[in-house]
Amino acid sequence: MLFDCAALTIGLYASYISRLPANNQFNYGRGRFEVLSGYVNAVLLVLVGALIVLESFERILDPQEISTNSLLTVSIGGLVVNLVGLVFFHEEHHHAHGGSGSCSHSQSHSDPHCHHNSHDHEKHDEHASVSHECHEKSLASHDEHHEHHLCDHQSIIDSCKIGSSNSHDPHDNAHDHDHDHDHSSHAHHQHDAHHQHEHCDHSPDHRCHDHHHHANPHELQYLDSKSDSSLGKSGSQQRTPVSGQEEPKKHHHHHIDHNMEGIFLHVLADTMGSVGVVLSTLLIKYKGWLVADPACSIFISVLIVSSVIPLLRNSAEILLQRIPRAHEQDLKEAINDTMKIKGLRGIQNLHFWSFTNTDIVGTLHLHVSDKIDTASVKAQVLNTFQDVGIKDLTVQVAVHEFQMRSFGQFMPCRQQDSLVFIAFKTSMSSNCEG
Amino acid sequence: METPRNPDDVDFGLGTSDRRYTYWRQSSFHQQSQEPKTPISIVTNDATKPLLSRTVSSIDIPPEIDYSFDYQNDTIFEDPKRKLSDLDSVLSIFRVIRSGSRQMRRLFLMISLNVAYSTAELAIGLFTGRVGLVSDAFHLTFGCGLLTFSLFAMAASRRKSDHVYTYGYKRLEVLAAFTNALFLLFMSFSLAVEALHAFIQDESEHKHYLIVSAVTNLLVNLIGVWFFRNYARINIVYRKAEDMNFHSVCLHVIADSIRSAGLILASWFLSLGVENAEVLCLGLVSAAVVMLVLPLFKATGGILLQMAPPSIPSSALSKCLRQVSAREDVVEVSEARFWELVPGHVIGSISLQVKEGVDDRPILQCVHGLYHDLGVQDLTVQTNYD
Repeated sequence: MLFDCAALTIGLYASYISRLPANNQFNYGRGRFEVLSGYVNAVLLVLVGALIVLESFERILDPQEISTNSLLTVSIGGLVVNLVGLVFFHEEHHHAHGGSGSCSHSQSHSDPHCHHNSHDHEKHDEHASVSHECHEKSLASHDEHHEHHLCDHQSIIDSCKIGSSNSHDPHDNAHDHDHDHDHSSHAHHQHDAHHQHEHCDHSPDHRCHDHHHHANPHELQYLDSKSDSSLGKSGSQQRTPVSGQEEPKKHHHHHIDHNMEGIFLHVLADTMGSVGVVLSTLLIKYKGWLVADPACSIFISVLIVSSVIPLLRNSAEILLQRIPRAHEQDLKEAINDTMKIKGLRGIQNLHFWSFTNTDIVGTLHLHVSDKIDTASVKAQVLNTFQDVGIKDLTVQVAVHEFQMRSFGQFMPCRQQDSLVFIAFKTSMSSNCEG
Repeated sequence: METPRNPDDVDFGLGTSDRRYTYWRQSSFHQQSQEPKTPISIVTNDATKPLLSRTVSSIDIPPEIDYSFDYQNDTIFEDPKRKLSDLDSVLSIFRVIRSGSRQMRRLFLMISLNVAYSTAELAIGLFTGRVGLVSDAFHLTFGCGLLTFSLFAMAASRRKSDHVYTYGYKRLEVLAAFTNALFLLFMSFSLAVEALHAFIQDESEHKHYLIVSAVTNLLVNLIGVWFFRNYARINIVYRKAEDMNFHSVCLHVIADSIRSAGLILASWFLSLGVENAEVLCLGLVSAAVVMLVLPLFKATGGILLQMAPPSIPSSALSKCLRQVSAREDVVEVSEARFWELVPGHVIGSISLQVKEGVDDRPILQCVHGLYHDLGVQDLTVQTNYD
């Protein structure tokens, strides 16, 4: 129990600290705390699960008599507490299962400030404070119901994040939102009209809204172009048509807050643990099966570990600076689009990585021929990548001539549509007086 | 103590008296020869190259990956291919271990020793029906799992960067070190809980066969400590990604041996008739493990959190920033952000607002030169005209 509290505290602390602005130490801000705490939570859960399995093996080998009476009341009490926590993480639960393993990072309830230009720190603060206010409001409204568990506060913050983008009723609202998307396109249009500003905020992450039952690719297309136009770009020329083959991939564009998912899994693990304890206590009491207890715990810990693994993998991928899974396809298209820009000789040092589950940071070096206007090329590239949701892009433009002289030689040659660079490193002397 | 501008000086003069560097002098001879030195490798081990020599392209950006865009077979996005490569990587671990550095072979030896020992323990425990032995064996295997993860990270981190992991796999070592540190913290936590448990229950039944197993365990772990003695310090100046991983492995082994030593001590004290000896020993062990691991935990956590590189003091960075912004043609400098991919590989991006109509090439060159001298190997400079 103490251990659980510790883990939950890590999550709470992380979600608090990740709202602090960037400083000298944290050049990108502290959003990574959430990812890291998600990872830590996942690792701890795996460790605990493994330990429980080991202990259960021991107990199978050496069954022990357990006093059932007090255990039953304690375990039922724990179950109730955990169930209350679980109710609040209902949202998280949805997303966690929607992701179904393969690609499910980033959050769906992204509050606005995540998507604003993260360069703007004042804005950042403003939004953060707005959402904090919102937290307090809903804290006030919810306090009488539940004030005994740490995770409850957490969940209020969480649900409030959902609420802050829509309205102040945290629970039903988010559901309505999803259903509008899912079932009726009419409702969707209306919805769009009503929540125009919200879609501006969300647009790059548009596909994050649950498209579980989304059968119609055209509507998806519509959503995309809508988001583009709300950004002020003409999306139709940039975006290649969504082919049917890609469609299944789009379904996986769910966005999960790692921290919250970690906490949710913790609470879920606890709940399942309590259920297991209650079950096994009953079995021991009425059937006299001493093996029931270890068997239950093995079963439950296996379940927990298997449910943690997606979180573990996703957060580890972010920590390892992988190209964000949810944007892989988009990025590839964007790169292909970029390659079509006239006068561009090549791209180098192309790096995209997600700083948190929503913020994607990219850097790339463009090599252009010297006859072209570098500013326009850069603007085009920036636009292309902004359309796929990369707000934080640093582009270094190097004119080709210069490249030959000082950086080595790059000889781009087109071979069957594939661009190959041959780089010769040349030693040279720097002529910089720093 | 370390001049930030020139970390390589330490190898040749400054730091030779500093004991924290001793491991470096020894290991560098073995590892450098196996390090692929192609200029194409993404994480070029610049720490081993002279940074300051002006004749060797001081503003060179390592050519790194050339992103070839229209590949005929879309390898990234197809699962079967990747699975194949995963399988390949698993198979290649053994190849890599054979060709790998001495430390890696030692780690492999260490793990196999542990596994052999725990299997023996398990078998004995099962046949003689001693549950304590079985649980001990399980716990040993548990720790082995993490060591195996470290080994896997070492093997995998040699892979070149691909289109999914554009920075390469070096960070896996940092992650493995972090996970190891986390595990050790968890272990110390559970030891503390065990101590509390013992304090409350005050059961002083002790099993003699457990003492035997603890002694054997201690011996096995001491071999491990001897293997990684170069890393057996709490504070290490990390130069490469491997350092972190080896350090974590070393700490793991040390923590294990401390734990066995604590158990032995506890049983000895108990046999002497000291009250609450187990509580005392376990508490001490858990405190010691926490003390040991925290620096590593902080260092790895800092890297994973994209903190500003600790190897470059922030005063140097801000001085550099001032130097850049003092240039006549630079109007404003924004978004100067630096982070460490792995220890010894600093990446930065900076955005400059340049006066209209000025040629940005000398600016670019100058900025690259300045930051490269500082140790930033991978810089992206964006120049915007007013």
